[in-house]
Amino acid sequence: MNLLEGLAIGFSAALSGEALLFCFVGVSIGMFVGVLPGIGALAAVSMILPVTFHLEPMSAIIMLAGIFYGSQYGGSIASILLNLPGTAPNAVTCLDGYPMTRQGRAGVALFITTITSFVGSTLAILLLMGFAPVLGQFALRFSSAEYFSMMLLGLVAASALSIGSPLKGLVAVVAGLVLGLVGMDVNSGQDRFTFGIVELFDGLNLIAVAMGLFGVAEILANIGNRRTTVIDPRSITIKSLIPTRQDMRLAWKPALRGSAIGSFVGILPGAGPSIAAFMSYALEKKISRTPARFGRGAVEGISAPEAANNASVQAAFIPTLTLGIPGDATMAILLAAMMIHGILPQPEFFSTQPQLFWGLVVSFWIGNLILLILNIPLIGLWVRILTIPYHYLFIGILFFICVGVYSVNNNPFDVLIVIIFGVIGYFMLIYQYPAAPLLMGFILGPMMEEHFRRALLFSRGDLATFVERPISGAFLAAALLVLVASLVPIARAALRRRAEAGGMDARSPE
Amino acid sequence: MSEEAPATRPDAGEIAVALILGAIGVYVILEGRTYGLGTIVRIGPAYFPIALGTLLLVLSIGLVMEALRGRNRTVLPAFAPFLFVMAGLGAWGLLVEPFGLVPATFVLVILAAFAHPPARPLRILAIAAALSGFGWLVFVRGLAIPLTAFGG
Repeated sequence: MNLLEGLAIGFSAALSGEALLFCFVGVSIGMFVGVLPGIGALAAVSMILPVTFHLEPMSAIIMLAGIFYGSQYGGSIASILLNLPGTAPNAVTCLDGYPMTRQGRAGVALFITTITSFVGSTLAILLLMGFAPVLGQFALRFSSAEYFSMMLLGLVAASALSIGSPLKGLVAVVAGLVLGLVGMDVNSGQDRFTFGIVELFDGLNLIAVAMGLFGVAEILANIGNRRTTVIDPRSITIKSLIPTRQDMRLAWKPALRGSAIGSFVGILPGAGPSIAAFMSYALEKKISRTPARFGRGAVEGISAPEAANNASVQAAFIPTLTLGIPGDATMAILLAAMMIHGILPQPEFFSTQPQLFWGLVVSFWIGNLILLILNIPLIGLWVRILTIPYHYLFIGILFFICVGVYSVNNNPFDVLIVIIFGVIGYFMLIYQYPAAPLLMGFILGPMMEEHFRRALLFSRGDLATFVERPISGAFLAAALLVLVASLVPIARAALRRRAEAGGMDARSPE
Repeated sequence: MSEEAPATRPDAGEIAVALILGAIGVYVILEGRTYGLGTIVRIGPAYFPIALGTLLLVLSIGLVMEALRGRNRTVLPAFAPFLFVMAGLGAWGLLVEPFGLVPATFVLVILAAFAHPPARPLRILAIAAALSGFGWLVFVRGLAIPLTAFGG
């Protein structure tokens, strides 16, 4: 099937009234949660997921995906106006966005982040259209050994690339894998770690786990913050949005570089929009002739990371749809949503369900266009939403967590799971253990075990199959490389400390 | 090696968390051993638990070492908000089936309001009313989840 045929199928699927409606609803919810600090895309997607059980699979996925990429647009608004990231990937945007606000250039910053977000998304969707079917063709050759090794690479990358101690990232992944064990083992019928509780036979409820770790923990993290900045919604007028020619000249190249980095990071399993935004900001600062301007309202400092995080979200659909390997934790929830709706992303996806793939792609175009309209003429509305006080907002979030989780199985037991994981998430927050790798381990764990077993069955128990099969071997080598690269700084620091303990003379001036 | 004055001793909580993780690792290994190993061609349900438990144990030893060397002081957030949020969630879960959506939501909202003072009582009641009304309309009427507004 060629591109034009695909697009034709996609347009006929995505332009139906229902698909358009849910695309609009999805990106609007995404904007809303993006704008509001203290609730991210992951919690929002898990909260809305139970509501989509009653929808057509296609409408459900269009809407949930819209929440994810819509939140990337909205997140920059709070970064720019309040110096508080609306969602985690927009944290870098604070660095130069907020100084622009203090210089009275908030409108320009909002306009530029919207346009560069659109550019980043657009380029990544083009890549998705061109590259995903090719990758799907290639992946037809994958067997269980390749899938196992690829997921392992994804998990190692997710833990090594998370901010903070790489050791804590690894522990989080392993803890997630352990949690994935809970429930009845599919091969043997043995129930594992269920403590005889009937509700645990099917495993821990993913939505409850995600809501506890992200929804409740995000509330607890934000509840103590007193917002000191006050914004005047009337100060953001349409006229104040218009950038100067100089701004545009400075913004476009970083936006293109950011899109490239974002697309690359998005395709990698395990790396999400936060890393993409951070990397592209670091690159711009490094190659700039005037690095001192960064942190003081440099236009490049907002255009590059905003293009990158949007590109990364769209590009993350490439491995998710072709291989069934999520790029980051939010994508892992989306993947779970697809499976709940009976859609199993795999290489055959393009030939067996072309209307779903192309319909989704076309809905991304439509969704991004809607976001452009929501952001530029309607910016005042979102700024006003930012003035909702958090001490009323979080109550609403708690309520939706309760009802949403209850409605998955119509069982209050799942609310208990939310509480338990809320407590765990709270301590993870305090001791700086990243929650996203844990969730990825939890979702990928059962699939990995399944593929591991199947691979050994095929190879008649020969463990070497994982290394000898070239593609699988390459994934494992890459995983090892990432692991070593992340652990080297720790070992080096330990050695240096030992040298220091050996004698004060050995201390290097630092 | 840095200018800022570091804490003088390792963080006890940090070490405690690492030890708990190690203990979980040991438990997972011991419990996993009861599941049946199978053969290498057809591996049994014990294989992954034992491997993961071992990994967790090894990593937790690394964490203890990291914590012993570390000198950063953990900032403990206020405890009361945490308690009220958890109590609110727990109350909703306990009350929703025997007493219905509206009472459960009122108790949740009132408990949660204590987590983040100052909240004005009338506004809190208005929020509780609005949320339970919306929830009833969307989830009970719209999505047909088997809950009642009042009563079991």
